[in-house]
Amino acid sequence: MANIRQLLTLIANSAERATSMGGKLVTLQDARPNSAIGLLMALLQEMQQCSLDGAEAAGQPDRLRNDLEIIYRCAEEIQELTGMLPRCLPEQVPKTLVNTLQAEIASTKRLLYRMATLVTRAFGAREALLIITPGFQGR
Amino acid sequence: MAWETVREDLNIYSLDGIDRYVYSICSFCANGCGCYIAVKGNKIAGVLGNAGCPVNRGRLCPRGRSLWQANSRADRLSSPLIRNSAGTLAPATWEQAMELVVNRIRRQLRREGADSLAFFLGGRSLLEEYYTISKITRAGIGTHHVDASARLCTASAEWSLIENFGCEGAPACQEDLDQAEVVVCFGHNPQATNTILFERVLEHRGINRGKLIVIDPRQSNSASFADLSLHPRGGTNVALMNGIIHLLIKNGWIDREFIESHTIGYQNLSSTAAWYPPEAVQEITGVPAPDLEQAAAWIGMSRSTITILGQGVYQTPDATAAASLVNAMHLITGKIGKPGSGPFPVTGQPGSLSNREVGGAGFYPGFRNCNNPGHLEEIASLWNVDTSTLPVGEQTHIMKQLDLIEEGRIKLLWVTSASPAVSLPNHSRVTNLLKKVFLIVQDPFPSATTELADVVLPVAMWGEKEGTMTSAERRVNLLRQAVPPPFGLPSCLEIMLDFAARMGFKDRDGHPLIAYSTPEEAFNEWRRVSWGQPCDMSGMTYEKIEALGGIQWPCNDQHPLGCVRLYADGHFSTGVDDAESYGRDIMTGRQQTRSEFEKIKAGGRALIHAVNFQPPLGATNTEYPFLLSTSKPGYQAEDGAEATYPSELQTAATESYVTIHPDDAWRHGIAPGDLVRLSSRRGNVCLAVHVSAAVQPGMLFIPVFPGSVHGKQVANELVLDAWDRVSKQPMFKHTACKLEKVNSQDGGDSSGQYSTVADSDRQFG
Repeated sequence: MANIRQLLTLIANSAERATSMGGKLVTLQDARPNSAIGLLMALLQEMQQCSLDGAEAAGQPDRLRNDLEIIYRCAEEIQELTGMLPRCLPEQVPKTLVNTLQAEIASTKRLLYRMATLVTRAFGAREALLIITPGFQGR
Repeated sequence: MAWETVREDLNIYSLDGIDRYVYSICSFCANGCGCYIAVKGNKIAGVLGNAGCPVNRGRLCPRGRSLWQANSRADRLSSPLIRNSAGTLAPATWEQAMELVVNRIRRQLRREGADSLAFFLGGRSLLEEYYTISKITRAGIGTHHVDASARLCTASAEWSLIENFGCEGAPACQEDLDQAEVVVCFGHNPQATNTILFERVLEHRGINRGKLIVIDPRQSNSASFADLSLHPRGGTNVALMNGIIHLLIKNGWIDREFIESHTIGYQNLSSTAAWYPPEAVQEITGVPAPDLEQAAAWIGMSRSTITILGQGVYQTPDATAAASLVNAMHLITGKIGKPGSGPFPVTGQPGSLSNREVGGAGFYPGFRNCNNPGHLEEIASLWNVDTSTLPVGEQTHIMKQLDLIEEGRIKLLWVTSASPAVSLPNHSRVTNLLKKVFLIVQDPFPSATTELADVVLPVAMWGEKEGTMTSAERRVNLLRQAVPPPFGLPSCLEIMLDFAARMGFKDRDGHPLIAYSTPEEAFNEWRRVSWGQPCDMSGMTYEKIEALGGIQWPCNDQHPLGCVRLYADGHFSTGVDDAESYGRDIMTGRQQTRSEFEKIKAGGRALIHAVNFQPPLGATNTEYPFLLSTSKPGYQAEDGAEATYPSELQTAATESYVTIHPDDAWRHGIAPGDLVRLSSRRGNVCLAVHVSAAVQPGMLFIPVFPGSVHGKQVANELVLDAWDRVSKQPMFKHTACKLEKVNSQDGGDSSGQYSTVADSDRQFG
């Protein structure tokens, strides 16, 4: 239980890091429809959706497993974006955007924590750990 | 119809004849031109075009003609170098160098595990060398961190093919150039970078009375030969392609039967493209609506169209998305798998495709899906290792490797025949990061990267070793050894074999993991590994390759002489257990799961993706109003090290420059030859100005690797280190920057030894 919780926390923290980066580095001008912040939002929202789906799929291990894999892969991309973005964007603080991102991340974290319990209940701690640990996917 | 006209180019320096001619191909770019190496005594004395090679019919470009001169350059490294306690590189014996490498890697593995090691492979090695590295890194060391300089040139090509067709490999080929009614050069300037291919295009345009369309933000030399030139603004390729697709659908220039039988996803594409009428596209891209309509009409009404794609597509923001729309254009018009038709990516260094075929970077050998348990078991069985020891998932791309170095998680980097200190964007950051790791560099010459190395291993080069390479059209060709390497230098393969033996890598029966000892034995093992895969080479032998002037894969019982073009039967590798990857989300880059891929139910049909235009990262603003693009002139290639090779080419590229539009020059009071300082958020450089209307107003252009690397290479000092979300290929062609006129005392000297000035407030690196 502790391990799966740690991993999900790690994922959530990546997303949180994205929020703080976004706050420091994005101008409203750069946050036009695209920008990288839009990608972050999209990934966060996908994680949220999967968490919600996961809750519904508690009795269907395959669906739950797939949702977990998607969450993990979203987190990978978020982690990569947070490494890249600071080098790409100018330094200004768009408060509305930061607030939106912070709201998204708070929701994501809440949903992921709830999901941790479901996952452990569905698979047991050990298998749950294997499902989302890098290097074990696909086995 | 093939390219029948012969012209035997040669560049041979010998006063008293030639002893022998040795079969080979040019290894400067991915065109794969056949040649013979002229040998006098034990020295390479020149090169002669191979009139029997269907790729070039004896022709050689300026780069190919001068490549051989590099072998006898005076500054070749003659012995290994080890950084001593005083911090300088000192000559060492091979025993000392290899012991140091092996001890260091053993210690690293013991203390911090396989993921503290990383490999970055160049683009000039041979298939047998890449295969051996692939096997050692995955089954021997077990690290995930392997990438190649192919990431800088061919990753988006690879991924766009995977996203649409399930597997990479150019659908069209050189022979299609002879038969196409319409040739589209998209983001490619072959007049400068691929003159042999361009000669073929022009020759057959005359015969076929065909049309040449060039799409390039610059009025390049190739564009001046075109029947129609489109100059979209940087970063707007997706909008442009949506506009063309919109017109093709609107005018009914599509093949409904092909769409219904062989594709999936057309409806989404059609709905998305409906938002891109020519007027809207003109607003986004700057391409006049009538020009766009003309291009669509020529493509739509032709019987055959081939699209040659270059770095103007692949090194831009949304590269994979744009290239995927090109593939979609061919799919909805049914112009694929037929003579004269199909997308034809011609990017890359000569060894890029070989590297990807054998799993040197990216996926498992034979385009096996590294997330597919069945594929993992297959390769484990072929290598006789436990499946559980093989790393799962895609390998770590070089830009992420740099992040991991920054975080202190990668501690050792082994570079083979590449110069990442030159070729990667954000030069200063890269240089600082390379100083943080234990750096092993294999290279025939001193380079900006060897200067940072802890161990330098000199290696044999082209003409001094034997093996195969695959060109952009999937043609596997043979490079025979013409002369022994100077100073008894080993090849990359020999270094890897020695390394594997010293490390004691074993299979699960306790036998040596690497059981072969020659290039041909390595190739024979690879033939078995490739059997049944899309890049099946099981029907090839060295002799057969030489006799046929190269063979296009797949070559097996079904295609004993190879296969000219892919997808002639309309069947694509999109079955769940055929696909090279389960794909990525084309917008966010997020990997899809097996279950998601299964739900698509493509089952052999090509996947069409709808993509909307998004304003790119690194956009210009009031502080940085210019958009910088980089490209390589005829004497350069993607890998920075290569630009330093033949001395004849070095003298052709001694100084760098920046091209600026006359309106911008006038506004800034700049005259041709003036020195200007170019600044981005990463650094600044001083360059002489070249004023030309070939670039658009607001756009600047710099050659990628001008001349010698020492103190003169500039472009990557400025270039943004951001990358395409799907392919992870850096976008060298889209950097916001500013420009100011300077006095020569302020920033550069008059000798052409331009200095690069580090940005004092640089935050990262």
